Amino acid sequence: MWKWLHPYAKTERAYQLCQTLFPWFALSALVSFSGGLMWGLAFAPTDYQQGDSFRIIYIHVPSAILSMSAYAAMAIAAFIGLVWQVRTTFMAMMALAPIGATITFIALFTGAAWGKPMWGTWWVWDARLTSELILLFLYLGVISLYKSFEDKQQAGKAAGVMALVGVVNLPVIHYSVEWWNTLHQGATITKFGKPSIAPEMLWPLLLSLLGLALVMAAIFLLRMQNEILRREIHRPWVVALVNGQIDKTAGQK
Amino acid sequence: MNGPLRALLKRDLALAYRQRAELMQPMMFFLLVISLFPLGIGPSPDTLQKVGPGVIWVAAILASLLGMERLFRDDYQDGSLEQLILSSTPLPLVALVKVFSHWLSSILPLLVLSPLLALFLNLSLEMYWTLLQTLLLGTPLLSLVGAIAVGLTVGLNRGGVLLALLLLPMFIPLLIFATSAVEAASMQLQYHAQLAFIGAMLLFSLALAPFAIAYALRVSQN
Amino acid sequence: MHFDSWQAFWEMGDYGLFVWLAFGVSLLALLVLCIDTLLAKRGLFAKVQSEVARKQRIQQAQIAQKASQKAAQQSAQQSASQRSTDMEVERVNES
Repeated sequence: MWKWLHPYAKTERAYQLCQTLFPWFALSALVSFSGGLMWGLAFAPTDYQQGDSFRIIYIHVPSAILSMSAYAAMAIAAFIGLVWQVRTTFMAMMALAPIGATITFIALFTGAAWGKPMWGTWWVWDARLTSELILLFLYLGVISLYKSFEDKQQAGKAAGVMALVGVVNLPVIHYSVEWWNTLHQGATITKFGKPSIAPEMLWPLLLSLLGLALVMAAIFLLRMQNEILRREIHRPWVVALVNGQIDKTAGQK
Repeated sequence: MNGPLRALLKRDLALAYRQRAELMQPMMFFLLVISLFPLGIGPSPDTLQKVGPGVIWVAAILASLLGMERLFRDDYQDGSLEQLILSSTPLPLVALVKVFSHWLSSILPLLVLSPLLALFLNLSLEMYWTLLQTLLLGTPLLSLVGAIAVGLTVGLNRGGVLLALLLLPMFIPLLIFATSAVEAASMQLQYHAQLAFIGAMLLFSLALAPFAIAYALRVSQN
Repeated sequence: MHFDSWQAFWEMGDYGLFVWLAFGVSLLALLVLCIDTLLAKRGLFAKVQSEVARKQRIQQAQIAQKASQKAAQQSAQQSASQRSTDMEVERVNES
């Protein structure tokens, strides 16, 4: 497997891989995400307790799940980069960070918009919302640490260390916040419990989860290409690539 | 403890002693922030007692952040950090000694100040005793985790705000456990579970943080 | 279709504001991310292009400089109008 993977540590090959994968991901992302959202919004039955406001679940839950997994993916990339000194993984990490931050923002915002009709306020210090907020801070920390270094090689390593420290801390933060929440929240929040979700509601949820994951993957491929270009901007292959692109567009005209 | 590390500890403490004025600043800040709270939320003893532990802990975290930059900055600027990295003494141990001397010189004074603050915020004796225990266990954790971020940002010109941005989310569990321990003590409840949690986090970071600090310093020194 | 009419679909059982706000802002955020990515890509391509163009200019200037130096040497041997070509060389150097 390592032999097969190794060429992709080279930036040029990685760039081309992104190029070939992108259309497939973009297409399937578009189909499944819009399909999942449409199904959830228009066809899934209404929740008997929450009415139609429960439909926010079709964006809130996928984004909440994926915001965590994007951080985990970032930390894995950082780990590989730090241990095996693979440069492309740092690029992957930094391509993921803004996507993860955006998804975390979406999870927070949709949580707030769901909280308003259900709990009566835009924001409660609910355990999950709070740890999502902290996750956003962790993302922003990694991004701003990376941006503040001039030398991008050094920046990648530093941000990688921070991402790893964050991922070690994340479970502790999560459980401490949860514990804090059960300690402090009285009866102000009526917990809905976790009734087993009906299959007509579950399928669109799974589809939109898959769809959002694919959307993130497609954006990741584009951002990864950008990161590679940014680092390798003086390399001959980049120059050749850009020139080739121009010739192509000139030929089309 | 062997020779070089002891010499390093002595040197750091001597340096800290000569920079007394700079060491005073976080202490003053700590005191000032805490005296702002009664002015901001009113002097009612009950309210103060209620918010007291949280206020003291938040202020302690902020004050320790202020002094944190000192940890490696001077050594980085005069080049002795590079010598320490090149020396045959294992860098994680060096980092541990530096963190320890920093804790002794700039965080321990904050603890000495804490009885006064307990008086200011109307904490009962029981609460104060618990607060002191959480501070004793928790502040080394602050220093250890903070040192990783300081090691990463030491080469940057303006790392101050960045340091806060990186570290404050990391300190949330500590804040939660520490304040809830004091709260439990104020209600005459058991608070050993919270202390045990803080102790566990301290031991965990004691085992791992020196390596992370050493790596961070190597990255910064390139 | 779960809803009876489009009207009902947009109203979402009186939760329309929240549902559409949540979905709208989410899609907007994703869109902004996409646009940012594409703009960054375009910017990088432009940067590479300008870099290439700059290198070409430098090369041409160097060729021109060599030519004018040759001319200067020849003219130094031939005539006394050296000063003006020297100034020319300097001008090329500066540019």
